[in-house]
Amino acid sequence: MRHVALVALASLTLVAPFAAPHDPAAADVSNRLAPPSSQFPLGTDGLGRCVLSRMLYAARVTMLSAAAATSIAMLAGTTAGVAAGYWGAWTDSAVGYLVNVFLAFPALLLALIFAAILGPGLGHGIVALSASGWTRYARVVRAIVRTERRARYVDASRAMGATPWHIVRVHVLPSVYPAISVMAMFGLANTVLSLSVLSFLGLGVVPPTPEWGAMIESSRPFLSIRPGLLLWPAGALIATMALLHWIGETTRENTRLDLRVEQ
Amino acid sequence: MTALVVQRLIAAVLTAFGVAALGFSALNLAPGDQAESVAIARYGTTGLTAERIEQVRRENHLDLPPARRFQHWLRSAAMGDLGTSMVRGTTVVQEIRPRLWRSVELSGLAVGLSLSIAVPCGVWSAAREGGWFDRICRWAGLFGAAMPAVCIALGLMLVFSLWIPLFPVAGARGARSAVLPVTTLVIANAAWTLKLLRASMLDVLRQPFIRAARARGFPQPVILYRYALKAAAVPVVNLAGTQFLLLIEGSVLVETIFAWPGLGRLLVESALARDYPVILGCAIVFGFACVAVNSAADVLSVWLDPRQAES
Repeated sequence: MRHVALVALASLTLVAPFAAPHDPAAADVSNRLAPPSSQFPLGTDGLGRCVLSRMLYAARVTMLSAAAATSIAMLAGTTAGVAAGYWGAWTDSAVGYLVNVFLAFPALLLALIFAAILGPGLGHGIVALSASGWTRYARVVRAIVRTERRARYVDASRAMGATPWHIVRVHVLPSVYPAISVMAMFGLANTVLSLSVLSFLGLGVVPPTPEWGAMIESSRPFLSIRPGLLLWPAGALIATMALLHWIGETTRENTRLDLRVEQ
Repeated sequence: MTALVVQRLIAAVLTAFGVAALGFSALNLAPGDQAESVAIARYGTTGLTAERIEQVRRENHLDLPPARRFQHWLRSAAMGDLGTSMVRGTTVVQEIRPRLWRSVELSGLAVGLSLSIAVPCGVWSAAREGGWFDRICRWAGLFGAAMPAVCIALGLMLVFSLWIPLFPVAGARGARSAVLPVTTLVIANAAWTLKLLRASMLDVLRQPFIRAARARGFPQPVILYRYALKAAAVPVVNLAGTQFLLLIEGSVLVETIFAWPGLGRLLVESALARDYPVILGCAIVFGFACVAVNSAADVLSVWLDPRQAES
């Protein structure tokens, strides 16, 4: 069931060019704020652009960039966590200190500060979100690797002359996968939300790019006459997050992981 | 206990130093020439000459290597000088101080209210597990924790200031304008505390010492508040640091949406204007606040449950 949900979410990134009835950036000021009609199923926004097309393309933008940011954070965090947990000593202290410093900030605020310094833009947003997201993976992976490297089979492997790279790849990483896959689902939900918030604040995507947070922001002047402009992207955002959380929960139950991953 | 406080204090100072270093090095990632952007902010693009840029570079020590510059910056920051705003020309401290106060006002009110709602609700819903009140609390907790703060804020704005015009849409004039921002923060935060406290109360109420207290005939409120709540508060206090981070995230959003002149809005405004010294100043104030709250939560949770000091 969760695989179906995951595939459905992934296919959202593909359908936009085929399913969208209009060009998401095509503005028609003579037809602004139109109510839903057969030509524009969800009406048009403040610049006369088709809301449905923008919603579909926004799903694509959001899912792809959230997936990119989550993968980068996951890779960086796992690398740091394995290094800290496996080699210990000063690597561990250095990574631990860095993680503590990053965790002193709320993830969203850290992303906001990075985005503020780098300037708006989708690429910068992805960098900012991965820079703020890697720490939680690093912390969990470090803890798992520390217990794992004391296992007897790791000792045996080392005694047989296995290189650290071989031990990490064959013995250590497989025990990290379940935790990481659960965290990635919650991480993806967080990243989707953070990206929307960045765009909402004007620090994420740049204007013609459709994105749910940016759509919510641009709906604000017309809130009293066209609440739909707020409700559609907000609903899509909430539904996506709920779905990702649900996938994360079921994955956690399936892997029987007693892991209090902070969400 | 004293040893723990000292240890936490040293760790906090170290982390605070790291926060400052992180902020400063992030600033050096900024694209473009900093001296040039300061000169543009000061003289405008028309009055821009190579000499002026060089002058600004020397004045702000931008010609020094980054490590020396960090040293300079750290020394003046320690004496309470966080630099000058590039856009308005006032000092960063002048910018931050009134804003910080407004933020503390908003968040303090939100924390107080959300605790005074979440604690009794959490205790009572755990005491009558499965009852109608518990069911309401569980749904409210799920709803509040799952809703993004942006959606809560805009939803409240839509219903209570546009459809039913009870409160102003934005601004900070009088108590009425604080109602919607505070309500947003309370919904988001009370839901987390309620969920957490309910779960931990349910755990505690199954413990033998509660049965012993019941057997001795103590009245229900004494058992709940004097015995169970003290034990159940430990995980809640442990996560107080995380909660505080959530509160800060929420306040940045809420201040921006409702145009509340707080620190979060200052951060977003200066981010949009690319006013780097102010961004750095706000980041440092937020970072230090988080470090302080986390350390205080650590000490408080050991005070509540001294067994934790051993682990």
